[in-house]
Amino acid sequence: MAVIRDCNHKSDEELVELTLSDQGWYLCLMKRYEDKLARFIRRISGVNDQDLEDILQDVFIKAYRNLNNFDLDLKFSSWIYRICRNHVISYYRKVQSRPQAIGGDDGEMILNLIQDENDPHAVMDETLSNEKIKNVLSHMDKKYQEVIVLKYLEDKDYQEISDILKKPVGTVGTLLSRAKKQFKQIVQKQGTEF
Amino acid sequence: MTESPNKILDKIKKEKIAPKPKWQFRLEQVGLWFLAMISVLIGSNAVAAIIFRMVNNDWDALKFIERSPIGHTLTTLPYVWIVVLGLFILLAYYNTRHTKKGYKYNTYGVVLGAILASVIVGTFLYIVGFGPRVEMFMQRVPGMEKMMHNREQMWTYPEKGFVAGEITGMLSGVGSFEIIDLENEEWIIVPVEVYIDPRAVIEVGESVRIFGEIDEPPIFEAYKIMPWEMRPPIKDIFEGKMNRQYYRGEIKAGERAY
Repeated sequence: MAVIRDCNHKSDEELVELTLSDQGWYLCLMKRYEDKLARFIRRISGVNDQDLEDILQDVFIKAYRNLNNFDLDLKFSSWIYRICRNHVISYYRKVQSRPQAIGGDDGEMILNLIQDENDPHAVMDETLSNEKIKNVLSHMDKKYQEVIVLKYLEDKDYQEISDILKKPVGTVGTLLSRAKKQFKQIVQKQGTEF
Repeated sequence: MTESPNKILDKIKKEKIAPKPKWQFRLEQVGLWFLAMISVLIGSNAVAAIIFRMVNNDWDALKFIERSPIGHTLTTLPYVWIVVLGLFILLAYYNTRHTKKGYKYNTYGVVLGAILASVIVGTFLYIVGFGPRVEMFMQRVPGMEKMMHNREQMWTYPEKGFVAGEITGMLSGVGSFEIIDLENEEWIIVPVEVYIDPRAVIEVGESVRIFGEIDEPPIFEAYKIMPWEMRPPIKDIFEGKMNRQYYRGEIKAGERAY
């Protein structure tokens, strides 16, 4: 007989506790994070659908195996994003290639978000197309690219980014500031090509 | 939303995948902290040896050596120990950084904390007389002796006025005594307008450094008598054991002097 589990009013942390005593509850967590993680993987790697599914499966299984290592001081989302990010890195190490350019239609969103909080003398042109922004992002260092994705697309705060990347909050701030600088420099450098 | 979660759950059930037990993660954390502490402890031993080396660095004989303080410092700095300290500070940092919450700690804070802990514990180890033990241990590591500054060498030139060794007998006469030097030569030390460092103990079994000149071998006229090494604030807790080892012939005079 199928067991009906009501996940809606349960926090991630409660679901972790429940999963540890009954693995069926893990379905709730997977459903809750499936789309988010898939989007995140695409954003930081640009993998195809088949690879994406494999990576996602590995991430969920890895997370399940390590469930007892989940620290309640952390948000579950930060913890599983960390596992996901690390797995994508190992995946690319294994296949010996570099993550591709940022995926999806996120370029324009990043541009707007970066511009919103910057000085009015920003060098970026609002008319930059999504493709061009993606091109800029693909020329960025990986460490800057992922911090931009986490901050502007995944909408993570500094503490969450710190927990995901396992870097001190101060370092996250520095990375982000350098990432924005690099973004602008690349736009400036490639300006004529747009 | 896809069917992935259901498939993954089926796979978990089918392959009987289970969460790793908590104790494994705890053990890993305990291991990392333990390694970090061991690293600090080894770094502390290096600090104890550095203090010991620097305290017993013949500063009081500088004017006889005719070397500038900076030149002498650069020549005699215990580089091996400094490298050992640096390596273990880094190891302590690495292990701390890999603990569960290690990434939250400030890099400089962790490094400075490890240095501070090594200095505090190392000073304590020096005070209780651990410095010479550590130094001796390192000298026994194959190949290491060549890399370390050989302090004894400087005191094996009686013709240049430098002699060091252990007092083997007190002679009649004003303050004369016999020593057996670092190369097992016997000398009769005769004080001439001598300055005796108040920290030097002129007793059988004590080791001293002497600056002076050869009169007629084996007579050596002493102008300045200094202790071979400064005693740590608390008497070496191992001294008794080392003395026994020396009298049984298990260690050499030079080792005992350390």
